[in-house]
Amino acid sequence: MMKALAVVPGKCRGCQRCVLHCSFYHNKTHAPSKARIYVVRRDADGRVVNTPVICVQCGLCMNACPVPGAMRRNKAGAVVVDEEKCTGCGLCVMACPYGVIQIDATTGKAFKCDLCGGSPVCVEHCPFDALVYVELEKAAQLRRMSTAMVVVRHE
Amino acid sequence: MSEWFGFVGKVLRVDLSKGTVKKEPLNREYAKMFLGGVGYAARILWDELKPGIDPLSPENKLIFATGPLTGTLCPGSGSFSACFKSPLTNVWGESRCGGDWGPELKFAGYDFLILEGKAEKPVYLWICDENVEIRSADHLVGKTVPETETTVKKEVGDYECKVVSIGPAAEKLVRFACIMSDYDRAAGRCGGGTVMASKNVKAIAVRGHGEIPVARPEEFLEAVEDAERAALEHPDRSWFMEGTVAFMEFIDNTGDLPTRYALTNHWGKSKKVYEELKEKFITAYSACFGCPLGCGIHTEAKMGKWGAPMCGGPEYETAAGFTAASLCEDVEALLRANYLCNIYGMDTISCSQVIAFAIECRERGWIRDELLDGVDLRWGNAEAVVEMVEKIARREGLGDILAEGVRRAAKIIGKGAEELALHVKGLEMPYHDPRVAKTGALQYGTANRGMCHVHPHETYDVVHTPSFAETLVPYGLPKPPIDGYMEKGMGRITALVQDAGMTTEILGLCKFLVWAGLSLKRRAAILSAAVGWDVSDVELLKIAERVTNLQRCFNVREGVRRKDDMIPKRLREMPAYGPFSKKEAAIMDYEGMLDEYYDVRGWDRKTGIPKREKLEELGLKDVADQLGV
Repeated sequence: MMKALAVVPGKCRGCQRCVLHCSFYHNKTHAPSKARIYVVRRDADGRVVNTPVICVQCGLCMNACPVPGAMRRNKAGAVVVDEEKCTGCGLCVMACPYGVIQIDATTGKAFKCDLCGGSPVCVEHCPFDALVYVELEKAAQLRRMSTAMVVVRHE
Repeated sequence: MSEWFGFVGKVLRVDLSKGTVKKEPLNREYAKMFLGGVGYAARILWDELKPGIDPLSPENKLIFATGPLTGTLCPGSGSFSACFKSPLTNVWGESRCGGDWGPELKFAGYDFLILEGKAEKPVYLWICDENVEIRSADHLVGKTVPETETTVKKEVGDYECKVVSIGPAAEKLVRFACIMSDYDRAAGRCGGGTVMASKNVKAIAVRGHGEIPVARPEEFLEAVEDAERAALEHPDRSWFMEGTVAFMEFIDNTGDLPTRYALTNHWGKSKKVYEELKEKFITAYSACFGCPLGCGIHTEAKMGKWGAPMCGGPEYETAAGFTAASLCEDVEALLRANYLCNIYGMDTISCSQVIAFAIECRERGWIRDELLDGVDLRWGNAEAVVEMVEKIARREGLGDILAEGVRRAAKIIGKGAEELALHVKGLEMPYHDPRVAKTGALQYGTANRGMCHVHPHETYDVVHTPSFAETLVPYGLPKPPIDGYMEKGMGRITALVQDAGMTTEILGLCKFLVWAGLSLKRRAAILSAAVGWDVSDVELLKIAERVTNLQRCFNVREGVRRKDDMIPKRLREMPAYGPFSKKEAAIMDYEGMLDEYYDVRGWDRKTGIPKREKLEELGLKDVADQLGV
């Protein structure tokens, strides 16, 4: 059964343990700037936000990638970067509406969420149950909720 | 260059007088002897400060200190401590702050930031990894904390950077001004913000893209996951998740809530205050970096006569200070006072204490009416309390006197005010009552930063929370329950609990995790895997003892002696009324307790000075030599 990552609105307290675990899993070190999940604490005017920003694996980055085979979907349905082929051109970064794919300053390659191959460590370690990895129907429902809350906030 | 793990290996030193920036390697010998945080920082201040200097002169230094576990996966790693000579007490000053700023400093590549000298004009610092800029802050003068932080973030063009700043109270040199971080978190006590203002530094923005590597990643992760599970499964976690203010009813009911300027220790109205707060005003919860407890609350009072825009807190201490201490029941007034302290950047403990003190002084006829500017200071008048907060921040009228802190204010007011003033070493009393847990009395008397409930540790809590006491039984604590009225044996207990608590401060951790499964063994295991040299739980306690002694020596060099470890008369007497007003709640033999504490510490009974044997045993021979003991 395919699953997807989703944010449970209103649960996150901004601790960033997901960010730390993500970078520790992928890089064996604490490096938030290389994490593939993001936590926004405040908006630009200082209001409390506290929410994770995740990759929804929409594939817009893959569509934008000009290098054949540099991006593909893994078994978990995540869009992953082939570091050998990636040229670091940045078109994927340009295409991503969520700001969750970036070019690694040291390697010069794109990096993004790979769902840890199917068992995301961010979900496993979130102390506040703000992140879930659930069947598609449930994930879609949670995403509708998140989207609606963004709309409400802006109105 | 040698490699560092846990620590990132660099000290950033900014000389504000010269406008120069230096990056120095971390001293490995010191790091092993004192670890980080208030330990390593104590060594820097011991080495570099001349005794007797004016804390508000350019000769003072302000250190922003992280520890080897700050910014790591160790639960509760979102801390930094500000260390300095305090303008409130003239002795060792330290104040811990949560949020995200400490970790960010490490990701930028620095374990410590030392500010020295004084900038000619107001400045702010912008630290982005290797790049350090000293920028003009002329346009930020007089701005509140939120205005400052938002403006700085916009100017540096990175809304994800982290900022510490000072507010207008610090600029007015209110002696208990805070260093504020992430809008409403505070290194609150001892006047660190005042020192920062004296150096003409309005804010420090930090952004780091680097990493904190650990020596043994697999072992580290295993130790972290063990501690994580312990925290998540801990029965008290749900309590922390409600915010510290949720403790107020328990504290009240156990006689731990100083009420009416500590005339007694039970108020009886905390339940009502908390329930109203929770039902009507809490709007969000927030965690510090890396914390699985997430005890931060945000409140907002939209309507009513006060109005308080959304901001962090109130914490328990703030809530107790602006209600029970002055007998005020108005929750909106509490929120307003909390909000004002946040935006002006003032310590809510000291601020609420000097106001309660002033109420009692006025009741006794010691304050002239013309000083009051029409503010009707009396018990239970919440409106007057809020007005006084503003007056203190602006140093107007009586506020100008209270802004000096209770010790100096009492001297100015005269009459019986000096005997009434509740402080030790010049630091105002926080909101835990030592009469029902006499370990708390010794903690208040001997804590190096003055009358503090939490640094090095909440010693009174071995009485109130048996599950916490249980964690220290392997190190010699008697099996709980511990009789809080007992006096004999409290010296040994206090010293042990202090040292155990000190370990969090030198690792760069929040203390609350200690209540949620982060045992000494777990701390030692995580530390060892992080730094790559093995430190056992018992060795960790020894390092903590060394740090306590070094800070004590710093204080001795500034003139602290046995008399300065006395606690105020009111707290040695039986609570004046209420259910805990009984004979055993008086402290019969504080001097005897102090003798026992000194004996355990290896300090001279007559003077309170650490003995040479003790200092040598701790590897502090050079300190003993310099001190001439």
